[in-house]
Amino acid sequence: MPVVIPDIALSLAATEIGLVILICAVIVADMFTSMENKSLMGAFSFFGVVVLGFVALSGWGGGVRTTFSGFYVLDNLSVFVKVVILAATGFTILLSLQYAKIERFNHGEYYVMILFAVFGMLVMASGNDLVSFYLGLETMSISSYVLVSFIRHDPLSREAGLKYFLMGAFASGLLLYGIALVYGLTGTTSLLGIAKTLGGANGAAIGADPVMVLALILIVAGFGFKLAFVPFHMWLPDAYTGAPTSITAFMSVAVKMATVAALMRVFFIAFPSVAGKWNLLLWLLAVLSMVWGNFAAIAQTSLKRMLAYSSIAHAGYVLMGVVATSSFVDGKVVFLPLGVSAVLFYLLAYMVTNLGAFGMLILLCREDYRGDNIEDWRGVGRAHPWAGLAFLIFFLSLAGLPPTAGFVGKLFLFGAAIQNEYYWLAVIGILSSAVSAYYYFRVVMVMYMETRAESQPVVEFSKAPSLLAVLVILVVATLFLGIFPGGFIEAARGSIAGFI
Amino acid sequence: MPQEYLPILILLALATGFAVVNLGVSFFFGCRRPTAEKDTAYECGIVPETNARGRFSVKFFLVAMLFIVFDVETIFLFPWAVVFRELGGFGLAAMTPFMLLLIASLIYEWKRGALEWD
Repeated sequence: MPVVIPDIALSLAATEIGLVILICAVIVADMFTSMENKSLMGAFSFFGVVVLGFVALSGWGGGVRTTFSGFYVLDNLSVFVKVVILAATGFTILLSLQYAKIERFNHGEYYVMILFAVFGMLVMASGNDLVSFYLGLETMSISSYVLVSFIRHDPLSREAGLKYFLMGAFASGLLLYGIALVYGLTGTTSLLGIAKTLGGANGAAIGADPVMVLALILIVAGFGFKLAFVPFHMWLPDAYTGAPTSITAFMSVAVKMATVAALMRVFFIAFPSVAGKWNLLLWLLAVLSMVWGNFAAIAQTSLKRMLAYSSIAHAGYVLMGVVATSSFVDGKVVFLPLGVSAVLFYLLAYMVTNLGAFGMLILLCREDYRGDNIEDWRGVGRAHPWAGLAFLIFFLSLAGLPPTAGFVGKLFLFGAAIQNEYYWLAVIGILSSAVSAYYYFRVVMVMYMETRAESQPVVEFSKAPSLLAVLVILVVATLFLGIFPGGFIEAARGSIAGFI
Repeated sequence: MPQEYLPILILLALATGFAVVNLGVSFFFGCRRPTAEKDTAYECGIVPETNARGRFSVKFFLVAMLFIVFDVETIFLFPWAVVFRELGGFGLAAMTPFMLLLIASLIYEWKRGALEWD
């Protein structure tokens, strides 16, 4: 009996294949490296990631191409997301090199787990089927659970890992149950196939089925847990505070980027005919996240925890852009590309800003002094003007003030919401954004207007060249994206090609 | 569509019925003359040496885990081996990366000391 060999275009998955080769190389090389030289694994991974970034970039502008029997898609959206994720990974690795030694978790496995998580993210960015998307999500999540609890001698980190694992596993269950119900209703897991069935002859009946509503609620809740939208956010503050700071930074940008990209792909491609139902749910989550994230951040005394709550609010802004993509004309949905490009640009802006903000925490961290409380920054701004200026720029960007990346990003998001007539969403977003300015600038005030107490240790910054280089690059990038955003906006617009 | 599942339902009923009837018949009609020998735990006919609730080293779990990983992955080799000739060069090219992944993980666990007992 002849065996039919499927036509598989492996070149479309070149980035992922290259990443697997890199992972295997790091695993094997790590076993032949002495304990003192584990940072070499970080450097090795970094150069690998840089090369893979260019490999991913080469897929730009090739149109929509699918492989693995439609399980996998390479289009401009996935290329954009992959390049940003790989850039975030490169920065994270450089942030970690010195920090891993300080916190005593400098194992080769640390870099391997980061690369495994990145592999999951890349699969999510290209997942054209609920099954391949879920596979990527789980690879990413399981690696993240390990990474969060990587400071093994610190009970907080272990606790954070356990909490994240339990909530994450629960969320995966919800999502999978939703996927199973969708499969039961439509008989397929392919995103295009689901859209075809729902738009077909029996589509209206299936779309009106209460089971469909249940499936959508479960899928939204699953995404809600993974992206920590209020009211599914309760794991996030503990997980982000307990995790190594470099991993907190990594999760808040890369994990969010991959999951938001997958969320847009799933909802816009598979479920356009029931958009009225899920859009309302997402609207509610966006409002709750923006309001609660910002108000809860005010009360924090730990800077790391404050940034954790602020990342909930930022996820809310991003979701606002997703919601504002749908426009309803006579009950029929029309997707307007402005929303998606605003989301992508905002995620890029948030990537450079938030990595920088967490990088500042790493800068202050020493063996005997973590420095992640707000009062640890007392008087730092006047004693160390350059560090103060860098932190100020990151806070300006987080608060969304010019001339920074965050300003342009917010401008686009709110612009998209107003253009598509989501006035209430924009108003709530702008008001909660004003609230956020308060707690960001409270840190700035502490840095510049308060004097250091006698009991506080003298500020002594890390002198690791990799860390300093990354922070300089991120400051420049934050300003560059804010002053000359043109090219990046074009890239974000171009990534819509063939998507919606 | 539901009638397609009827054979499964019948099989389920048969399986349950078989177990219930057999156990029930021996419970109601069997004669019981318990002795100390008969009441001991049955383990393939070998006389048990100690209590079954004893504790044993956590190292067994590591070995068991490694065994499961490699055992399950080897299962993929069997269907491949069956159609090896028909697949030709494609089959070999597809299985080589898979084997290399296994070898990388073997090197890792070996060098990491997971195969050392002490």
